[in-house]
Amino acid sequence: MTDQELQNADNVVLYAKPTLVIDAQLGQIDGSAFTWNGRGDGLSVNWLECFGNLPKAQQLDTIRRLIRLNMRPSGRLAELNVGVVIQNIAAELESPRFVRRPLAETAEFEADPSHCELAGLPSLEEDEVKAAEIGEIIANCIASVHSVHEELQELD
Amino acid sequence: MLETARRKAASKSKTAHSQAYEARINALRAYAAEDDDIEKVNEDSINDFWAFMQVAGFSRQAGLVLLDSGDLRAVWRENAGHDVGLRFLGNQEILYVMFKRGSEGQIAERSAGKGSFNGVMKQIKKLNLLQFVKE
Repeated sequence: MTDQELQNADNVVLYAKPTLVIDAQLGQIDGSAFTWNGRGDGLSVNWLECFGNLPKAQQLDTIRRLIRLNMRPSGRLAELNVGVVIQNIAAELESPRFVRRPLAETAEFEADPSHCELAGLPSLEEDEVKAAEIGEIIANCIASVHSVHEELQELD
Repeated sequence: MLETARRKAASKSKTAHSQAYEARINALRAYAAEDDDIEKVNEDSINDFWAFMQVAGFSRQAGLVLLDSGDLRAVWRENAGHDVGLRFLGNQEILYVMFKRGSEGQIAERSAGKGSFNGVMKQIKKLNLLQFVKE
């Protein structure tokens, strides 16, 4: 089956844990949040437009509900535009792409159709210098930063 | 002997922003204690950070993060500006990533690799980023 790829106009969010948030108020997330540890096929992200033409606040709330990570209050969701990221890392990598990897329902979790992976990155084990460099480039592409809990005030 | 000197330097280190750094490192330790991905904090990395900061004399405050490996990383970044990231690996080795921006915000020059304290300082100078981290 062919991977379904996200398009340039699409947007994703990635959860950055507290240890990798440089400055929540300034919206600065460290490049290490965007390095691939070799698990799965790529870096886990969630696709905002997966839920149709909803206002962004509702898209974010749905992802907050579905994401299978133990999100800490001091962590942040970094929003990235697919086209901007690909444009900035394409010269460095052979074929970077955001591919859909929907997660099926389990006894513990609801199905998550928004789950995607950024594939084509070097893993930290393969080349930690290159991985760090690419991570820093992606960190410089962050469009906005959001809190992990909907009851908290949006930061952007 | 080097190890002893380094620990001594680390314990006596008084850099610009040292109180803020100490507070941030303590906060990172607390986060790490609750994070299953971080087996243990690399104390050698933290000692190297203090030793490097004492030698380097950077007056711009760095942001600090803690990687899953337990290594400390210091980042000097301006939004849409220059970017210097130093990951302290221990044994006085640093994994560095540096971006220098041009006048229109584009990345004009880049450098990434591993090096000693002296090697990293040379890279910073080579990219003309010394003023950025010292201002």
